[in-house]
Amino acid sequence: MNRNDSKNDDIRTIFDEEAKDMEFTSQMMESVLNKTTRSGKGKIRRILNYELQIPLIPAAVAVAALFAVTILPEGVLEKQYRLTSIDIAGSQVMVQEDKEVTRK
Amino acid sequence: MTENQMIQGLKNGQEDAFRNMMELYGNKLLGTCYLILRDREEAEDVVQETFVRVFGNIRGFNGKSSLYTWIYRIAINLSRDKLRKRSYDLSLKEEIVGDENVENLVEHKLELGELKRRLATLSPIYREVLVLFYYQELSIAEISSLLYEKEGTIKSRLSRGRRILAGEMKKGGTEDEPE
Repeated sequence: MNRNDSKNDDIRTIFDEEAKDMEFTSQMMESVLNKTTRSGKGKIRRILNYELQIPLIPAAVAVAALFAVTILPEGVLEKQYRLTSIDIAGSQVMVQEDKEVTRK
Repeated sequence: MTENQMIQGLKNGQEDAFRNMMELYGNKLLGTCYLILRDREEAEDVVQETFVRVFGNIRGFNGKSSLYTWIYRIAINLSRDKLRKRSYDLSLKEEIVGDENVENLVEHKLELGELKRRLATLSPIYREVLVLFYYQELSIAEISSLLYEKEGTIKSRLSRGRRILAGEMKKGGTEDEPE
């Protein structure tokens, strides 16, 4: 479809001329913004859609720390094994005295 | 700002994104609606309502068409609603899907004034397509996608509109002579 013959140019010229005064003014823009982004609904939507950007490594460290504090049994990280060595007939036997894992 | 950034901004309700969109499309959209409706006040209403609807429905925008096409589709539908309220019959029962050479249809040397007069009285169904083709400079395929019509239908309307402008049709195209 060719738009470039003289009659088509005439049609385009007429359209351009008729629409040349049409301007979407700043007043109209403000009116739209008041009905949309600045309205209560718009503000709620902005909050709901807000994207949180959390850096991965600090977040992973924080989760691990939280895990250690809340999930692991008390004292499990500080667990120290007391080993005792006993000589029995010339052989050394290592005896470990372990603590209970579960909380009472 | 790229289109994707604009869409993301619109979805996040960012005012800057809305401003950008309105600055980008506002004037041309208003011109298009004015040419279709031929009423400044109604055209301004339609464009503002279009942007409000973009805000309200942007989350449903799935990117199958461009943002530009989507916005224009809303505006064209709202313009049609306005025209319907004026009791125009926008339905066309008979379409001539032309095998005629549309390039050669408008060859009469019409005076510009006469052409202007005929454009002013042209039925909205044809004017809409002519505006999108000549003023918006959209392709047949783009108009077809925008109006959800077959390309043959768009070609037919364009062809028929041009024939009416050329005075080749005695009836069936102007507001004074409805089909």
